Amino acid sequence: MSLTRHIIKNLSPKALSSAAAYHKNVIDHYENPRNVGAFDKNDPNVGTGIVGAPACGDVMKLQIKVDENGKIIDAKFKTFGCGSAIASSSLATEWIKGKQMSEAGKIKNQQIAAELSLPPVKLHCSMLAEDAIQAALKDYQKKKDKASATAAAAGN
Amino acid sequence: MGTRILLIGRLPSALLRPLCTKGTASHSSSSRYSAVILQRSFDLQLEQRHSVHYLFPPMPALNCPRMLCSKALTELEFDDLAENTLTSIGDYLDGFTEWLPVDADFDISYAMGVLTIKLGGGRGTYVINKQSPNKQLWLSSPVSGPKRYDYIHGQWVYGHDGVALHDLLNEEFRKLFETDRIDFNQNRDD
Repeated sequence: MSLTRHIIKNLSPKALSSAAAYHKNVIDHYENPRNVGAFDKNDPNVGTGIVGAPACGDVMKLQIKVDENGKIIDAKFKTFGCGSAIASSSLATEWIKGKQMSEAGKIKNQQIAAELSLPPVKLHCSMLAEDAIQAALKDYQKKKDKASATAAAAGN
Repeated sequence: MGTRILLIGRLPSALLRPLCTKGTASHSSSSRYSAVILQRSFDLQLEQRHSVHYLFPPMPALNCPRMLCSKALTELEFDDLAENTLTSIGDYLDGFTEWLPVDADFDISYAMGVLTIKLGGGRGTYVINKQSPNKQLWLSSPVSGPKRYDYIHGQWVYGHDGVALHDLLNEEFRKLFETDRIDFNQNRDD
């Protein structure tokens, strides 16, 4: 019953004209994605964050290259997913480039969603992009900690 | 690490399982549904250290009875449970028009595992949908954003803060409709 009501509502002229469309910012990122690519994940200055799952239709890999002052000098991403997911991760790499690690960690999914005018059902993409940033930062930090622990042990 | 062929679109569940465990994505040349084949030179090593809440994790040692934990549910059981939860929330909301002042554009629709709640009056839209691969319910709230709920000990709970879905809905809808009489827990069917 509810299904019939839903179908009829969606066939009405008003519904068709206001059907959700991708915002122009999303289309821009989809057609001209920035920072697509990969770094060597074994590079000690590179942090890699992989989030999502293929079965869910969304996987994001975000990599950051950090200099010795903790500044993110470069970022690359590869995303398997919908246009909103690609745009969210592309935007995320744009935003974190040139920022200190602590600043990059403050980027929230609400900001990404607002910039791309994501509809309710696509808010999860922006959340995933935020998680990808966090995962990349965490991975880099872990690598750094491991490297300094090894250096300290070797020094002894 | 070479080229992996990834399929998007629905795959039979038997093929999905290898993709969700540790290791690289498997090749598959057939699919019951129409799919677009993408080629990416991804390194899809979904190792434990990269796993975040949403990666399909190995079964956590939750120590709870099988029917009360989403990770222990079979796909059919999860499907039934999610359907019941979503339709009971939908039914409860449908009843709002009888005892609450709702906007003319207030609309509830449920189809294919997605419950869409249009509040009307420019207040936004809630979407709650079934996410079968993760056995989760995904919520998108115009007030608090996206959240993912697992079924733990008889409740749909958000892992990051432990708040139950029905409690979050209560809190937000009470503020939206400015009344404490709203209680999603009274119509539960899960």
